[in-house]
Amino acid sequence: MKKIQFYLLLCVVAFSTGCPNQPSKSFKNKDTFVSNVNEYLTQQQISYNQVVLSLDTLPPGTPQEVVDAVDRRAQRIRNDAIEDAIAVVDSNYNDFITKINTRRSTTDFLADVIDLGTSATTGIVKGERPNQILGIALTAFRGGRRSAEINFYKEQTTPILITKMDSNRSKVYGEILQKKDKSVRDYSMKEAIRDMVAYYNAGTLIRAFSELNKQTSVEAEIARLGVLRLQGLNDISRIPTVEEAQVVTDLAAALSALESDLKVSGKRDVAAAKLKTFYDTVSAKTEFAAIIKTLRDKASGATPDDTRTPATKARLKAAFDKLDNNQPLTGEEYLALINGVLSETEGNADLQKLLLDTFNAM
Amino acid sequence: MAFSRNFDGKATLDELERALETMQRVKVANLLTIQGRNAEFDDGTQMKVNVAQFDPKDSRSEVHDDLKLVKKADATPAFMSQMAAQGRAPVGGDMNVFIENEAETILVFGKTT
Repeated sequence: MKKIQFYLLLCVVAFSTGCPNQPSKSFKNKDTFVSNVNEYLTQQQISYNQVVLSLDTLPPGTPQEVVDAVDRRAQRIRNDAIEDAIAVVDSNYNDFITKINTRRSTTDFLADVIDLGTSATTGIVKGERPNQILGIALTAFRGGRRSAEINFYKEQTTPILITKMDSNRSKVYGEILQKKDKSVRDYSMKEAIRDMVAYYNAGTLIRAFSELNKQTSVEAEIARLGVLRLQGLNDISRIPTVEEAQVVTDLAAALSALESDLKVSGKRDVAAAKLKTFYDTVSAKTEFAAIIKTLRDKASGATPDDTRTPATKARLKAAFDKLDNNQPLTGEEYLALINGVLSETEGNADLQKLLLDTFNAM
Repeated sequence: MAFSRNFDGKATLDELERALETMQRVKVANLLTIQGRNAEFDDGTQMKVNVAQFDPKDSRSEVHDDLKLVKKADATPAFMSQMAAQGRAPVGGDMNVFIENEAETILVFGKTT
């Protein structure tokens, strides 16, 4: 329940407040950051609307180049507004970070954040949309002050909060950059303003807290499992490259096809013969000698093996017994041997490639 | 019967997906679960890892070798519908793992190719 309240609080605040730093305390002051940004965006949106309106009122038959030129003009106004707003938000953010780093502890900032909630009653200003975008609903912090979750805030160190804010901002900025080339029909000024608000909010403590809390809960779940003791890097399976993975994919596909063919009476003998040739060729190569020895040991039970079912182990044992006694093997037994060899190449891309090359050369 | 393998927690989602798929194909086994863990080596070095549990199979036709991993936050209803349309079934439920050393909850979908 507490968690739900916490998320509700953060959602309300994160989407509706300005940056919880010193200047943000005086939202009623016309000289503040928020007022300046709002005023600038209002002017830009008016200019943009005029251009877009002229685009809509162009007479039928207007040459496309004229339409495109008007569109580009609106696009330029929109992009200029984005760049200017981002520059101002960046400047404000840098001041904010400097204050965190030089003059204040996180706890001091938290006191400011809480103070905002108890003292400010600023509401969302009616009027042009830009006037609304950075409007605030700071009363939501009143709940925050009473909440036991404040302990969560206090546990966060300043570098972690700054890193999280930087990360949040980079993510939003990347999304904005991708949209800037779009026409005004595909990326309107209203959407651009929403993105600028998102960029601004991404650099707030509130958003950092909410993102950290999400991450922390997953990390807490992982931490609850305790520390896993490992002996060395051999305990870590390597991540195959795209090319290495493709080799295994091709091998597995070939073996799947042969497995299917073994179930079809008309194809069974050909598939079995191919599997026999494949295994005979592989087992004659010195590169696979150690692998086949290991496979034999696992099949016989001399070496423990938890990667195969009892049925697969039994089939492997039967296959090796028959080979030792010069008895004919079934197609399924040869398939078990080849699957066994592939299985023992785990983590060895060179041998997997050699296996595929051998198959392809048949 | 199951066996486990550890993967470096700094892998990207794509890399982890590729590693799991490859392991399934090499070992003829299905992924059961994957779980992020804080690990420590004998020399005290710490590392974030993902421990995957696999269920060995007798036949490749039983292996859901085509996997799709997605961050839970990105699993929109449209994405879920897409997975169903592609014949991919969910593997387990929410899985808490490390992606690029960050804790994430992911969902895994698989099908047999």
